[in-house]
Amino acid sequence: MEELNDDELQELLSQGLTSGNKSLNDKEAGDLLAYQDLFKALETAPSTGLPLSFASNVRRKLQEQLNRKSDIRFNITAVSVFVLSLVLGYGLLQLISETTADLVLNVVLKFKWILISVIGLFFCLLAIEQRLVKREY
Amino acid sequence: MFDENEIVNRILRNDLRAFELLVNQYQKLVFFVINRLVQNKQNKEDICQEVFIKIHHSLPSFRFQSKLSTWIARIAYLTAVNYLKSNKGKSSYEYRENIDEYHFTDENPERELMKKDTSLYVNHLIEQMPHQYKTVLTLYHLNEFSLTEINEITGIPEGTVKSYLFRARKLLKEKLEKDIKQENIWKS
Repeated sequence: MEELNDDELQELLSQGLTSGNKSLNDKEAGDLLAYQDLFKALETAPSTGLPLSFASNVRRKLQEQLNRKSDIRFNITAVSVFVLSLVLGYGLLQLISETTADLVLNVVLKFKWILISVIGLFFCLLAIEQRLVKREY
Repeated sequence: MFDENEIVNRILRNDLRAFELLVNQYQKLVFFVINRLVQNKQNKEDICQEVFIKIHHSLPSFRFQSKLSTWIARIAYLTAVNYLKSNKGKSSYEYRENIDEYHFTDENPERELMKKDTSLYVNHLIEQMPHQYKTVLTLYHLNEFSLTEINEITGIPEGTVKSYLFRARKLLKEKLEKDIKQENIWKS
């Protein structure tokens, strides 16, 4: 009988053969046993693993990312609403009284740096608050 | 019982509790892949987290054309490969270009101690192998994927997967046999 090579032995083992259910010569039986031990070792899970809290850690990290995204979205919306309301207010004022509208625009331009600083400060405080607030998940 | 369809639909409706269940279900699968391919112990947990965040972001594009486990394993595999590419040169082992010419390096005292625990020693030997061998051995034996599924995960043709698997196992078996012979010579 022709001797089984390594590939054939591995194929037989993958199909569930053990040394007891086929007539093999000494060398083949020895090789088969060696492969059986190897397969057992290969199927042994590593002794170390992920911590028990891994799933909740991933969920927390994901929640943080989603919160950050929604905070950014909120801030952009707030800035857009603020700018739009200013433009809309100025437009309405132009319709009602052109002189008052120009007067308001002049005042705004005169104190532009103070206004920009106040608005900037407001959004900085908003961002700091969003970072400091501890959320409950 | 874990119902893939229901869990995926709940996650798509922004249910984070369902996502936690998915992580619990597949964390072993992801860890086995990352653990085998990434050498740096400290980065393994971070990379596993990154894999699950990617899974959450990509879930809307999952169309159930393959098993969820296969899709997750593919994301884990590609993340590990990208990590290896970006950390090229920092690896403790250098592989030959032609992996068919691969052979194990010489002995050291640390390895002598490891040989007492076959599974630990086999894992140590696998660590030195090229990543294609490591991947197919892990996906086939630890994660119990079929050759077709390994082809879907890695993109390596099925015939090549089979050849890597057989060659890697032959190399390991020969190495173990050589070690046993050597041990018997020392004893006698």
